[in-house]
Amino acid sequence: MEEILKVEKLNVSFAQSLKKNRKQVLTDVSLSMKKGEILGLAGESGSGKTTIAKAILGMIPIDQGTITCNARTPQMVFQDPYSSLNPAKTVSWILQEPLRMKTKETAAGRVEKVKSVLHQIGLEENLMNRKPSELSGGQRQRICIGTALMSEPELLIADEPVSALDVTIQAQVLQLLKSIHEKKQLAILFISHDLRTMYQFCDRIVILRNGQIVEEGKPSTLYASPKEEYTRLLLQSAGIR
Amino acid sequence: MKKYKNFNFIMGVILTGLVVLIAIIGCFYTPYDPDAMDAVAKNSGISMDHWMGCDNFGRDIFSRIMEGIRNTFLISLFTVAIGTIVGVLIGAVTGYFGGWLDEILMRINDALFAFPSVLLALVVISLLGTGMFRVTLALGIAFIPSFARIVRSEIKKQVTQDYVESAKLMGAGNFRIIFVHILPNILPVLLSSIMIGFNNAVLAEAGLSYLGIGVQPPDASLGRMLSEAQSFLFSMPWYALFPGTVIVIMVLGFALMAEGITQAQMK
Amino acid sequence: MLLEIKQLTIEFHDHLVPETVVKNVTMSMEEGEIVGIVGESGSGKSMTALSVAGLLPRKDMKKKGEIWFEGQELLSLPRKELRLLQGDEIGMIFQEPMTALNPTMKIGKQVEESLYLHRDLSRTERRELALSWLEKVELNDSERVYESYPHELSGGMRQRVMIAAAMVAGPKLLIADEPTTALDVTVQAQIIQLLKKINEKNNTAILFISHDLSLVKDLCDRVYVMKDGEVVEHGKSEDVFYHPMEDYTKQLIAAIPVIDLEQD
Repeated sequence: MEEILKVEKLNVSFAQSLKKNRKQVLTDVSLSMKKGEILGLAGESGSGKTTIAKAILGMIPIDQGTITCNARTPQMVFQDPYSSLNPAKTVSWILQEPLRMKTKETAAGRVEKVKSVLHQIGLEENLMNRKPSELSGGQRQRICIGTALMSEPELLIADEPVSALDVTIQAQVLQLLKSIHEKKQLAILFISHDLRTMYQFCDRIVILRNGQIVEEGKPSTLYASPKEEYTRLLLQSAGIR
Repeated sequence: MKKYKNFNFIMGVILTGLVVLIAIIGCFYTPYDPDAMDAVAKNSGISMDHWMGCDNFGRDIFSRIMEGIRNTFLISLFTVAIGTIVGVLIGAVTGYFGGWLDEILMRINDALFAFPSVLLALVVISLLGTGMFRVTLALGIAFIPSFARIVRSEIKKQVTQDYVESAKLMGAGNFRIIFVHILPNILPVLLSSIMIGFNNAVLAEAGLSYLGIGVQPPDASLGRMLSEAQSFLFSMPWYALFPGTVIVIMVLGFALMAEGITQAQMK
Repeated sequence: MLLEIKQLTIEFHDHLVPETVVKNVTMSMEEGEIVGIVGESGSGKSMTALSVAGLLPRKDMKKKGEIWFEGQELLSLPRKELRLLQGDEIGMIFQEPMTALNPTMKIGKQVEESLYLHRDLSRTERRELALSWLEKVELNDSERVYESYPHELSGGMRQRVMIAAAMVAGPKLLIADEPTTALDVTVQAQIIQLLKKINEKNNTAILFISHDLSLVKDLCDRVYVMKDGEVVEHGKSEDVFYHPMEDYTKQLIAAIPVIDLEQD
């Protein structure tokens, strides 16, 4: 199948204040994603998961390596649903913003699209005129996903999209992501530290440690027979093995 | 912000509204010509003819206060407008982009900030000359640094929020992100500093006019009246009392509104 | 019985309409027992814990019911006596170890704080006790940790420091409010192990607050499931986990991802 994302030998470092040497965050990271695939990116904090996401979206400068992204309008869903929606705007305004940027849709047309997306993400139309502060965490994260969908992306990068949510809500939001993935053949780069949720959700998982890829494989094989010690440790800590 | 009663804000609105109302009426109608001198009524006290008495030239104090409020109010309004508009522009650009532009503008700002705004206004006035327009301009320039500083630090706080990143991903330009996405979020803070700034402008105008370099005679302003009343503080105390009280009411009104806005933010 | 909460109701009065965050909660703990409170955000689990620790503000808040701890009723206890219990008999650790530690104070001083407040010990005695607890929470190089500041430590280390600081005065009850939520998985597992060990060695009862039922199942003897301020189900951890009676508990369990590995 057609590859939509190819990252080769990616190196990223950050300048450290007060120190001369730069901090190496990613070292020779290579990965690829096929159209409509869900790739899991697992690792602990500081392993460079979010940095990969930001590099792919061109939000940070890279030192070395190539990133080839063939996906149309890649979008991102952030971890903290409380800071990723503009608190001063209404749901409808936020959802319309990508359309204002990228299309010449009329106001009425935009509202129609907002309604249809609200339906897709399982929210009622009457939320349209609410502000983010009047929504629950789960509702907010759905709106974030909806905002991303407005651009009709082929690749969605979800950076810990459920870890700030309650457990029962987590399951619902994951369910939503999965159903959108199936309907739209949407490729998802799913970043998480939670190996338990990744098992059922991802087609393939890449384990990251200190900016380097440790191991990768299908969840079933990876979980059943991890080759690396670190993977084994992660699985044990998550209570899987 | 709307659901509960905000006593301070309501009181502030009432007091300010009262003052503004008098100023507006003053544009169309005053009991006497504010500049007309009446030799007979010179130094007269409170009476049915002259509600607040007359000054040493026999001018009706109530009429002069109506004109004075208008002048003071307009000067303050435009002062704050200049300070806010330029301050927001500078603060937004430096706060959002950071980098060397931020460094340069902020160091200049620091240098200006080191002078009290009245002193800064004095310098500008000595360069430009006196008169209502120039005083407004001078005060306006003197007010820019404080607004720029507040806006910059608020924008810096907002820039770290994910919604800004998300707006970039949608393809929104920097200009749009600053003014459409971020600015509404700092509006409450900006609004309360505008109120406080307005207060400072009223006091600064009164101060400058009191020093004799603000509004020039025969035009009335509250500060100008106070300065004229100074020599007659004991012989006709009402001359100083009435404009003084009006300044207090104006300042109190805005202070209460600022307080109300701040309280609403805290909730 | 170490702790007994009877018909605890907590209402907030800082808005126009009073809001009930805890409704008629009754629960109990034996000495040396590990009890879990499970619930989602807004379930009142943290409020219940904070009220036991005496950390809820007295203003704007109405509390009904009784909290008995070692023969004393905490809600009616004068503030002074309550303060004697805090840190001495009841220790507490929080979700976010970064904000729970004072960034300008050396670790050693912070661990010693409750000794300073509650015990009449010399400086060297305090230091020794603090060092021994830093070792007990498996911080190698305890001397160095003693002299460092919070920002020099990782999240996991900070949480260990918090545990040491809570345990140093030898409390009978340790309240742990989501102590692992902010930590990485590998570190989470270590902290849970550490809490287990402390419970076994010192016979300290632990009230463990979490949203993660699977974590609670591994650690706790008994569990209370809370929803919207009420206890909906309670019992032995294993029973609740494998034979839940209430729909809500079933929902919580269903939300835990199932991993059916082919064991080899």
